[in-house]
Amino acid sequence: MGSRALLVLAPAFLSESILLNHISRTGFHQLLTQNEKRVRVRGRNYSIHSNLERPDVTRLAETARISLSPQEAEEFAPKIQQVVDWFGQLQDVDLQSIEPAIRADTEAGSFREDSPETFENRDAIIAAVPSYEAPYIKVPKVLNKD
Amino acid sequence: MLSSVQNPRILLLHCRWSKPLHHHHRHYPKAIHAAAQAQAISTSSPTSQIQIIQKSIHSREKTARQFAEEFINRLRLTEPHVKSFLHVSETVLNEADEIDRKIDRNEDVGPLAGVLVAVKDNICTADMPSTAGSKILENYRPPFDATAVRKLKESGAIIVGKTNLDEFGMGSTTEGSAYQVTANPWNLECVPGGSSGGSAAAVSARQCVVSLGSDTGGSVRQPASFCGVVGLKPTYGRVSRFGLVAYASSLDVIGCFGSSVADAGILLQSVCGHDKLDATSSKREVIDFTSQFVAKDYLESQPLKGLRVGVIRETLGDGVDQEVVLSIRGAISHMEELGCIVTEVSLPSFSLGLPAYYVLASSESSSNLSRYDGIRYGNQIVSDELSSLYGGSRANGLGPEVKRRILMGTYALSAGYYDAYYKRAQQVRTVVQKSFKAALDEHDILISPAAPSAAYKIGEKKNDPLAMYAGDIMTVNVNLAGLPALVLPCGFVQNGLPVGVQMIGAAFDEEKLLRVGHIFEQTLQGRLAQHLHLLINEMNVDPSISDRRLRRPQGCTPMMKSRHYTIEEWDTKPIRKIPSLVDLCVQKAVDNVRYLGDVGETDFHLLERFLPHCTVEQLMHIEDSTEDRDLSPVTDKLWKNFYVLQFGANSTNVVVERMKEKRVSFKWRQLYEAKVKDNEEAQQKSFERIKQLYKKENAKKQSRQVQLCTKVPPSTNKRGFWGGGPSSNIGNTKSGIMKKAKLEFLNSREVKNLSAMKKTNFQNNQRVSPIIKKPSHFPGKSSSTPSSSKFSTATSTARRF
Repeated sequence: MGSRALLVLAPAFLSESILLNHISRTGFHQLLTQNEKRVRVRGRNYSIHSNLERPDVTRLAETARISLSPQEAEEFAPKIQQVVDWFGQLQDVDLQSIEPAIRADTEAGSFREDSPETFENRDAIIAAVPSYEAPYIKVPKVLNKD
Repeated sequence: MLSSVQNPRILLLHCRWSKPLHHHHRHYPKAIHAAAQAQAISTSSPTSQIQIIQKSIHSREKTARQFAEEFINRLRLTEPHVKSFLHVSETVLNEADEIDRKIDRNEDVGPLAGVLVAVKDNICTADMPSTAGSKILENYRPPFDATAVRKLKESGAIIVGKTNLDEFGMGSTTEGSAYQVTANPWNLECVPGGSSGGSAAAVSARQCVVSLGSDTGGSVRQPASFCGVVGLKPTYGRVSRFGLVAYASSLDVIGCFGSSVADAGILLQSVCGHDKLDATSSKREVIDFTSQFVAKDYLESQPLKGLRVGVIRETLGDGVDQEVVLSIRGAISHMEELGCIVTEVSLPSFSLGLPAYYVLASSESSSNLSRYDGIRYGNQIVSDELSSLYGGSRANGLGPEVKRRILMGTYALSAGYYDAYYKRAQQVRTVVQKSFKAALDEHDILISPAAPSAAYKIGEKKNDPLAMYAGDIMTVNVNLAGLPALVLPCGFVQNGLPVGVQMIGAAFDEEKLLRVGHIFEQTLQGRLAQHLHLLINEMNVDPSISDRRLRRPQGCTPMMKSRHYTIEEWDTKPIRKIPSLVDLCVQKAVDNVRYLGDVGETDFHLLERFLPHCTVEQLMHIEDSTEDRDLSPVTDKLWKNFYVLQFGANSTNVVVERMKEKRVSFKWRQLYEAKVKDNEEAQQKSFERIKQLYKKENAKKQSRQVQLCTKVPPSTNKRGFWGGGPSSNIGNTKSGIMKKAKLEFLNSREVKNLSAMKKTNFQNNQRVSPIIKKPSHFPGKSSSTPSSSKFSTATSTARRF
């Protein structure tokens, strides 16, 4: 893993050919425009077109609990598809044996003690509830008849 | 290429009128003015507004209330144009009074006492709405303050309001706000950048002293570059995120805006540090960043000697605006002059950072934003079933860009795709982090542009998400690596919009960034001030020479020399007509002459070019606002013009001859004002006389019969004298009396005078109003400026009165 990182920093001609062989010296612009073509031409294992389904906007909206009108779904589909295709360039990079990073290394680490505390401004929390009937937050019925 | 290394803020202090919406009918605070003046003479460098405010209120030279009033007044005037605020506090002046009282009692008021801070609306404030720019949180008031806000308040800062942003920080233009579109104060047709566009524009338009933003993928740095202010993105973990509306938690940081590096540093100092409410906030001890802001005069000739600077090669290639590249090259050559050792460094993973960032940010946002369901807070729709209540409230409350990102994130996190997208993006993050770490082992700081272009037009990229995402290429990698970065203005593009340079430092080394940035901005100013003076002097000899000189390379390194032409080459090359920097400044000033106040130490040659575009009131205001300086060498001519236009050439000649005769000379402004005063008094007298005559007439009429009014002449007759005057509204009976009275006056001399006076009055009124319009009242060619000979007769009659 460490050696991999060193490769990244090796002179451009080295790293380009070994690690990120598709990235030109100057970059991102060409990457944006040529990406789709490249993904199709190479057809590697990782290519999104070989083993990943295209996004189904209606189903995604259901999962994300956003009611979309059919028009909206139609409007979103090409834009989301475009971006997801663009994400596809990640499939083309050899990232084997590289650890994923959850976030930047903050050196924070330790969690605070899990002890209950009284929140002073309780009224403000309740005031923000759109539908409140003391002491309950009111919601429509949860179970369907059928 | 002088214009490429021009620091936008040279215009603020050296020619302060350049900022269109800076000050309107308000003086610069005296202390700021004095300090700025001192600076203008020696260096013209941006000064720390916070330090000036602290000094002034503690020495009681000025009160916190006075400072607050200045900012609030400017805010009121500029806000309709800039629209940077979603909410403005109503207690600012009271809080300022409280600080003044504390100072009077010698109590401790904190390091930010009396400093007006604007806060991005995705940072929670208990006493103001916090909407994150989304309809789903419309009018939402959080029950707590964010830690950063709490710390600000503890430091004595006054929260002036909540600034506009792209909904939940998702966007790069601030057009994504559910409430309003903020404009770039440098050009109101352009975007301020985003997502912290409101915070950047507010500082840029001097609606507040400093402001807080948040930076997930460049949301502090890109708007700072677009709006010509300083933006600081601290190390991830440096500032507590408690109370920051979460977008992508592994990337979000709260950042600072200021008009100088020192201000951004002082603001960071007061908001950073460990917070037990944010487990990712660092426990590292916070060192004092603020002690290192030494004045320029104490700097050595090469204050950055030996500093290793790496220029990221991938950021100056294709797809980056050439003018931006030139500005950055100019900044680099300036750093070399300061003693830095500049080398190029390649980060091959750089372009992969962009898709990785968008995978991570979308995925995390789809998870983070699931809390907005309309149940416990926020807008709720009416529904009889729970899941449709969720779906409807979210569909109703979230904007299209937010929905798209949630859907993309939902896709990337779906079962089976996680490894292909989210995990891969996290692996790219590791690569990016390591490549940055290695580059920063070799270099002290890294340099790149803050954005691939300067600000673009509102609406330009609204419908092309990928084009907008591509604009984040310069900044997202820094978020993936969690490093601190400072953006500060370093130049202009040809249309006069600012360009920012990004300096990236090692984790938790904000201190070095701030020190380098401070020296950079202080020295850049001084060097350029000299160039500008040189240019202005040349301009008077032969404009073509200065034109050429403007584009001559300044202190280029061999590496870059090939890109430039030498002065000899310019002689033979056909010269493309590019407005010089000075032309741009002057044009800016002319366009915004209505906002001018104190012109400070602006060169007379420059004043000569734009002051003729003022109206009487504007010129008067500028002269009155400019303290400790006599502008009459330039303005005397203008006042004479005004005199001629207002009172006629004859009257002017009389005055000139009389002065010759008596061997005295007055400033034309004094003459003008004296004459106006004379006229006013005469007017007043004539009105009073007529009023009395009316009274007499009235008394007579009341004793007579009303029928008399049948003798009134056709109404067309009186129109000539009374126009749409006040008498036309009077009721029937009464108007009969009035008409009769008028009839009688028709023959009297007073009425003739009165009608003349009315005209004068009318035209005077006309002259007051254009302040708010486009300043087209150039005295030489104006159509609305009174110049008829009738007018002068009228006034001379009035004088006899």
